[in-house]
Amino acid sequence: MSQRNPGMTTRFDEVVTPLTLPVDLTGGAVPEAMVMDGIVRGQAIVGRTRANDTMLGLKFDNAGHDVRVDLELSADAGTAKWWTGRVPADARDADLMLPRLVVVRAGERARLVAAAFVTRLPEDGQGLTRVAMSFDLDADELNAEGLLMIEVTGVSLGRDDLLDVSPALGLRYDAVRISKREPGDGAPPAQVSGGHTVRARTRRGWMSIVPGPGTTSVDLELVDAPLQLAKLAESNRYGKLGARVVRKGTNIARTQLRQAVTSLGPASMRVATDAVEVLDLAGRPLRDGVSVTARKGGRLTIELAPSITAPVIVRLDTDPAGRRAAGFVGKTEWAIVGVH
Amino acid sequence: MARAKPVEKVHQSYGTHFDAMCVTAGRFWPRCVLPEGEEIIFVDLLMQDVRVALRNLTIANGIRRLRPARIVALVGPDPDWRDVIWQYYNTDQLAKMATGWGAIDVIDVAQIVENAVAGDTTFEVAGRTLELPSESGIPQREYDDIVAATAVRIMRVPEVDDAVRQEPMYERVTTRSAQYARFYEALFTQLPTAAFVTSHIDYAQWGLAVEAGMRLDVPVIHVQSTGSLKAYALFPDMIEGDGTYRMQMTRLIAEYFEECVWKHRKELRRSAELSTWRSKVNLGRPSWWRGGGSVSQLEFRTREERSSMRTFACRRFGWDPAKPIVTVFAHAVSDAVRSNKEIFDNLGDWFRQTVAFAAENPDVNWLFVDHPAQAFYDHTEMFERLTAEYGHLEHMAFTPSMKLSKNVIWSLVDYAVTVRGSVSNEYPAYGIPALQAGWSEWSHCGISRRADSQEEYWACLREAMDGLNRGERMITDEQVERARLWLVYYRALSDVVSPLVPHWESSQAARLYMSVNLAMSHVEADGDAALVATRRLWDKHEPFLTRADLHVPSDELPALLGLVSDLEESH
Repeated sequence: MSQRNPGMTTRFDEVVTPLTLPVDLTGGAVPEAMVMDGIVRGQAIVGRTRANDTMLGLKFDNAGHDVRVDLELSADAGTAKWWTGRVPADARDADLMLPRLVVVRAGERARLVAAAFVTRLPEDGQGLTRVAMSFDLDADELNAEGLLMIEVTGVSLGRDDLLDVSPALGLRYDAVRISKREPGDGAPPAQVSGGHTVRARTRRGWMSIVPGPGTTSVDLELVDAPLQLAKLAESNRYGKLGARVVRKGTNIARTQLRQAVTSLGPASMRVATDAVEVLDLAGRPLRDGVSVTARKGGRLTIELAPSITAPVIVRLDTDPAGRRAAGFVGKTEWAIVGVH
Repeated sequence: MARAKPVEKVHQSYGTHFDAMCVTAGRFWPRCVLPEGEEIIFVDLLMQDVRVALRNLTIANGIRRLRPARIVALVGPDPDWRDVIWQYYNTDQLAKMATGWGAIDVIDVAQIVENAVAGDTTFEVAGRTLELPSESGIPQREYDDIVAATAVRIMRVPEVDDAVRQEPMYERVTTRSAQYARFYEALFTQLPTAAFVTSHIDYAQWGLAVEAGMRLDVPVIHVQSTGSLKAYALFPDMIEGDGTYRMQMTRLIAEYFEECVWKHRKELRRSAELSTWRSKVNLGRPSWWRGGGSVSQLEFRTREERSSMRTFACRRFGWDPAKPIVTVFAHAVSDAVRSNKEIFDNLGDWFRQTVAFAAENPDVNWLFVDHPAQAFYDHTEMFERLTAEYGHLEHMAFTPSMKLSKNVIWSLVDYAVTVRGSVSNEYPAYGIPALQAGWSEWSHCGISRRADSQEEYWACLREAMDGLNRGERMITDEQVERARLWLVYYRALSDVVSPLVPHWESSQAARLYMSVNLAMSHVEADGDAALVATRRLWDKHEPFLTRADLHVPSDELPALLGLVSDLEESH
């Protein structure tokens, strides 16, 4: 093999000094973000995806350390605009409030490290819908001479309750943070619905679970679905609060509303366990190692055995039997009240 | 040649700026050229793009500074081209432009051919009545090749088969082709012809003119639809044997490359590196290369970086990154078939046979990449049918070009296969070997591996598979250096910059017309690079326009081209 063969390299290539620990990347117009494949580089954000298959390649020297990577993605008003402008004409009238399933692979072995739903809701308004994911990469998954690759791709499962066409198109890469992991540091804890822990709710009845070490259990509690602002102005039990949201239209008011609704607590009811479907990332039902327990008070616990190490997705019934009798106004969602 | 950009996206307008430019041209050119003589330069305006017309007319006037000739412009494209391939040909506007640039007559070729089909035997050119000969002197085999190439292009099929022969369109092509041959024979034998300046050299309406010109001792200038001003020239004394125009040029380019580029490699090394870098980031690309902004940029640099990317790219196809990948780049299958030496019956035949070969050879993975503009060249969906037939094989994958970014494709290709695609000069510049199943402009410049027979082609592929599996690179340092020099040759040395011909990317509308108007209004003609280069080409019978006379000792090159390589070394 010739040693003089320059390969892709030319003498005019920019000399890039690799990023070193800790990394806090919040802009894409930097040479260290060497490859932005399917991503348009940003200034105040890392970039925005112009395709469904996207890759970020960072010039990064881990100095032999294991690392933890925190990745923040989000959707905003621009997401819909970019998506609509780039998908085939016959797909453009899709409901953009449907959940978008994205999976993340990283490291020299392209290991599957995370999955999450990015789901815009009307109540998000012009604001951001954020998801955050954390994953670990061992030192042998990194090559300082190469690139730290992080791939975010949208997954289509052929279901009509998920955004099926190019789900990752238009999303924002907001930040990539990399920190050193010490030998004693444990694996990241289980992550639900794209980085949320407790107090978050499922959106449109979907959530993801990235299992933690050992057995992972997620406690859920039935709550009202987020209400449309228009509904809130009507006379009902949230009327006063809702009218204030419509009048003020501020994020703080919306947050207060969300918290008020979530904190109402579920009515006394028990949900059938078949209201829960646990699926792998190909959309196939998972049964081995999965248990679902229904409790009084509209509570559920999903338990994943240690044998399940890959991310799973969970579909929850938003229209469970007995909902009306228990006093729910509209559809329900599920508050994540515990992740262990 | 194939254009990656779908024509629907092209917007050409005329309007007041166009009119103003033509008026200025009418004042500018007559005073810049020799007084009119008897000889005629025929200028092809059969293409709809005004940038093409501008290039052809400018070269013609460059020649008029040397020869007291008159311009006769050919307008009126073949109706099938006008209606099937193009969308916006405008005879009146192009005729107006030709007149501004000094044409003494503008003749409607389509009308003459139609009249000939109807039985007319004469036509008028520049006040003379010409008689159509009963038949042309073109050898039958060359005639048949040109007619077949025209039929497949117009009908957007890979080859002429019995079904194609039954089509009324095929009959129209053959009927008109016979008249084109008679028409060009009459032009070049009955009028004193100084040159034929053309944007195309393939297909009946141009190819038969080029063939006649070569046979009847007419210099043929082939102006390129890219860059600033690029043009090839074939003078009668340069023709050897009975090869086509492109075959002659392949030889002439190789000789020139050896004598005037490779010889200066030390002085040009820095420039070659710069062109190679610019190509990587999609700057200075030829007009028909895939565009698309960042999707066509190559962002990684080293083998290690490529390897990181490759793992992810391979996973998309379910492939092991350690297994070599041979990538076959499909051509626009009806594009200028058999215009240069091809070792298969046609481009479709080459592709189908290569796919079948790949199916039998799973020792490497095979990636088949379709041409970005294939839909404009093949309505039979050959690529899709082959995908359906072979796509289930694990070691084979089929993909449209634009579905993959340049980063992804370049991380995958270990060996590139084409007939004459520019991947065979581009990949070697980055250390990736390429095999050609035919000739191209660069096929004899020592850049790629070239197979001159089918036996040689299959042997090359087997050799490549074995070599790649042994971990060999299958390319020499010299091939890489030559490939990088090709980039600087193609993009700089043979691309002449003149304000009279703004760069190809200068739109087809007001911006272009205003620039040309400005050049003719405010810039003196003497010393203009386009005119100087045309004179050098004509006087020395050079095979193409160049920025400077490169037949000089290497130590004179830095001053001649304003290089910085020599100064850089001393600082």
